[in-house]
Amino acid sequence: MRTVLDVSLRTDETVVHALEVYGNTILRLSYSYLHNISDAEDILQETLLKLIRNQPAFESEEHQKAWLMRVAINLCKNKLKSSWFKTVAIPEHYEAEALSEEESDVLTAVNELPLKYREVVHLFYYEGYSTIEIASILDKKEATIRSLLHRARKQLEKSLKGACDFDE
Amino acid sequence: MSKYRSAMDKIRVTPEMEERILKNIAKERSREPIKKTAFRRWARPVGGAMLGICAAAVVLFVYLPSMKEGDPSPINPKTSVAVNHSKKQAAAKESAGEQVSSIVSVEAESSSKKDVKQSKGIKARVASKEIAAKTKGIQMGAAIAMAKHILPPTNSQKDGNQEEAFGKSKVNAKQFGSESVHDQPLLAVNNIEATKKDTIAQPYGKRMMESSTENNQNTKLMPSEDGAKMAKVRTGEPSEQESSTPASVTSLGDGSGMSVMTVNPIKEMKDLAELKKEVDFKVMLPKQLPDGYAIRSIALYSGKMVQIRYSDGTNEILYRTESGSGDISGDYTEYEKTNLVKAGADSILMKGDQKLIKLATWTHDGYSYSLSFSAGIELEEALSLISSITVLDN
Repeated sequence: MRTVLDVSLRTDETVVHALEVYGNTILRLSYSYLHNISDAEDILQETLLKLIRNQPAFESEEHQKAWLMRVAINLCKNKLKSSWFKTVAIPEHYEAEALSEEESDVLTAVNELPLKYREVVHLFYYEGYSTIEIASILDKKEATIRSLLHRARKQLEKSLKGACDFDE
Repeated sequence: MSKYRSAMDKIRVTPEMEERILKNIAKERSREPIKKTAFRRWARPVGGAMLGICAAAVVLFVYLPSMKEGDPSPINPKTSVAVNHSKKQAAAKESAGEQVSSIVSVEAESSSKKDVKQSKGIKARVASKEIAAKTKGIQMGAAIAMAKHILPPTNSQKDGNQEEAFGKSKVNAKQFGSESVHDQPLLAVNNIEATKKDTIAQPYGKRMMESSTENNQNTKLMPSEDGAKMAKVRTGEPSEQESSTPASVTSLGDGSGMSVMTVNPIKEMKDLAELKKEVDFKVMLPKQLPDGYAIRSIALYSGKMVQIRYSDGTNEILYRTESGSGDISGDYTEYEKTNLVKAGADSILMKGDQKLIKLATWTHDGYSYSLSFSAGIELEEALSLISSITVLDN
């Protein structure tokens, strides 16, 4: 009984820690895929459940972050494949905080990108991962990531009519 | 993309959302208790172990028995020899009278009993056939001699006696070409070759044939003067290699029980002096070893390749040299780093990790060399070791 309680407490700690440290990252990543805060929240919850069920051993915090992101990405892709998601219209914008016009334009432009470009743009420009790291997270070649980024930039330049700074 | 970042920064996990998520997770966990997790954790190793047990059972009860059936075990041929003996004794009865043949039949029975016992012993020795074959070779001569002594050959019983003797010595009569042994004092190479053809289809026999093909080229199996001992006799001059390497009697394992002399290609040397005596080429050896290293073993492979194992108690350096060119290291590891280092006129191929050299191979004056370092060695140290290689002088 004591062991069960210990395990339970440890699991709670793991979840709370993951939610505090990586909650925002997973939520934003999921949002970049699904364009919907409720679905993103579901993905965050599912990701944390996966963490409890699998209880993987992490070598470092960075390893844990990468694992959680990979799980969240998979869950998002599964959700996008589901027939419900394909047929039901999804609200596009997160209305919790008012976005400036420029922010809204950029967010809309990124959200309109094809999925393969969108995930790379988010990981590169928001999470600050290098192309090698993105390649390992998405299980693709680095050259592929580079070319995807290049094409995503081209499309964003076109849609934003040059009003976008690709400073990195 | 700073606007994208600032827009995304506004997406946060709110306290309400956090509370909701934790509540939902707690609810989910109450639905699926720890049992499920525990089961998942144990399912894979337990399943793996079960699979392993099943595989072992299949090997033990299906594969090995089938191997035994397919394996040219000496049991069947010997039993058949015993049967042949009985038949021949029956023939002998007709020709030589009841009294003599009754003695022979007693002997035949005893030999067939011994055959069964011996076959049991051979069963146990299947894993080390070569060692067993050595024993066979020794026992063969002794048993034949004993048989000869017990049963003095008569004109009518001569064949039978010898075959019984062969049976006693665990060797199938077939190996001596049956009756042709007595018709022809020398069993020519052709007979051996004919027997070989039969053995090719046998996996074990084939392997043995490959190792013994060369040896049989100039050899004849012949009974010695008293017809009891079988010895391998060279028709040509023995080569230095074979004279220097230990020979062993090995069963061909083709069901005929054919025993041939095979040459062990590896000869362990006691010291460098013995090595120098054995080889007919100049042996080059490193003189300056790293601290603590001493010779652990010296071996000569097929009379051609010298292998010296140095050890400091924990780590090893393996040195090999042979005339000719090519990589003789036997180390096919793909190392992180490969460099070609010039040492005088020679180019030494150094392999290892970023810091240490694990393998060095090179050729010099028509000889190939290799040095393997189990713990790795600094480049400078490896080069000084290589440069210290000189002719073995004592």
